[in-house]
Amino acid sequence: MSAARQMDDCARLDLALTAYVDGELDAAHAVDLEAHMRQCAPCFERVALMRASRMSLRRTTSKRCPEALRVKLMTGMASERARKDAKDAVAETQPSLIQKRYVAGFAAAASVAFAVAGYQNHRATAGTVAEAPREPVQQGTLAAATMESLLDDLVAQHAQPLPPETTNPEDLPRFDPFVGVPVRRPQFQAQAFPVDFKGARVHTMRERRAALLQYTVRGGHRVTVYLFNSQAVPVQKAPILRPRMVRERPVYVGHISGYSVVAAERSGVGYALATDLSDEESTQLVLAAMQ
Amino acid sequence: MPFFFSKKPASIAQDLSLAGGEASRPDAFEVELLGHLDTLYSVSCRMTKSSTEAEDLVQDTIVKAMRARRQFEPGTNLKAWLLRILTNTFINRYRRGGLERDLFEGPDAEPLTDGWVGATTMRAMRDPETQALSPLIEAEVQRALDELPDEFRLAVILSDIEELSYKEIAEAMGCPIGTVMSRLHRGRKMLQKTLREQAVLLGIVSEEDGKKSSEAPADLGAYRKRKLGVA
Repeated sequence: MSAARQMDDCARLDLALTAYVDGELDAAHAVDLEAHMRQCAPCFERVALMRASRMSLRRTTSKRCPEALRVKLMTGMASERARKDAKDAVAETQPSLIQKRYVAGFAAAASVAFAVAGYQNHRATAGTVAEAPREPVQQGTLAAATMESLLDDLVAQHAQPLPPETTNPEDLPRFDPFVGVPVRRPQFQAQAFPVDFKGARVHTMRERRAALLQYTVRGGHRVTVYLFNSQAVPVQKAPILRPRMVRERPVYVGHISGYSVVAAERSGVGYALATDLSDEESTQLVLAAMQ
Repeated sequence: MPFFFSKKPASIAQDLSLAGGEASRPDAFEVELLGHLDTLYSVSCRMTKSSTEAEDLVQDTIVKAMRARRQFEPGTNLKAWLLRILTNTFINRYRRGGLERDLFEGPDAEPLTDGWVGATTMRAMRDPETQALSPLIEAEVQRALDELPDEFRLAVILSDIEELSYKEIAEAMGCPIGTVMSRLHRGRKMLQKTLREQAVLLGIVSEEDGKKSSEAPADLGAYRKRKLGVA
């Protein structure tokens, strides 16, 4: 075959190569083209290169949806669902109208607050999180920073509590898939003073989630407890906490913004607790919570 | 703490679907939709080239999908349907008035020899083991893709990365199938041109080699063997 003739064929088949690579060329033309490729190294290579680029494109461009965005979208979907339910209710019966609308509005407001908190946390820390895997040497420092930020977050949640998502302790096991560890209500049985369960919610901090439990003890002192996956956020000495051995178990105790803060770990579940009680009482509470 | 002892927390929980309740659990459609979030986010990042805009785009897409869910025919390709919504939203929102009309569209728009690269050069750009580009050039792929004009970039993303058919891409981009093909054709050529320039810079191929307009077919025996290996 002359070079000129071959160039001619290539020109004719150029666009077909694209369709061929995409599997969009009909069988008859595909056979024709394959016959040409057996004789024409440049066309053969062009197809191979197109396939190689595709392979590399797939490899370099896949990204995971950030956890904060996923939570935000799920909340958005839930309120979209609530909106639809409310609409359906309007069609059904008149009396349920007010009730459902009220609920839907409430849900929407709550979900916005919930989503924004997660989102801002994510934004603020995006840099730190991205850097993390590259520096194995700083692993310890990083873990401490994570524990510290968890405690900061806990105190912020304690100081300005969000409304609970549920007040029924029976609902807690439903939090499991979100938190990644079994969420069981601490009974505080060993406690000398009475503890009232006020409610719970799933809380997002950075890329992680914790179960946030709200209690009151003895004359209205509020207690906020985080239950979290201690494999994701190891409970360990953060610069603001002092380690203490209580009943042969390490408990970390400290103060943040005037609140007493205690953290400990048991069977893969991390417990962190914020109160305005004394260190001693907080320590007793966290130990009781882990029973 | 005005909300702390709020009297309606149980119903909030129901509506947030975190604590259950029959009506509020994600249904099959939503569960499947959530399964495509990584895809939607990846595509949004590549389309908008910005993670902030990508998040907005994904959110808009999800809201639209939820509201238009009755238009989706169960059993058909949900991913293609979602990408159609996403592409439409992108074009309408970020490129008001649609994509720029490409005056040079079509196979005759450019001389064939543009981006005409010799077989040796093309072979040098590949990594025979992984069937992908050589690792050195691969690092450039994302930048090369980002540099493509919108209409070409969208076509390449939807075809090469997301494996949509020409018909599905045509529906997503709102153009005829022939236009999809020529956009892909030109888009890939531009991509290869950038990558070849990179290969020259890195010394993987020589400048002269890249400019050679044609070369003799390689040894046919070896060539056929390779062909069998690839096919």
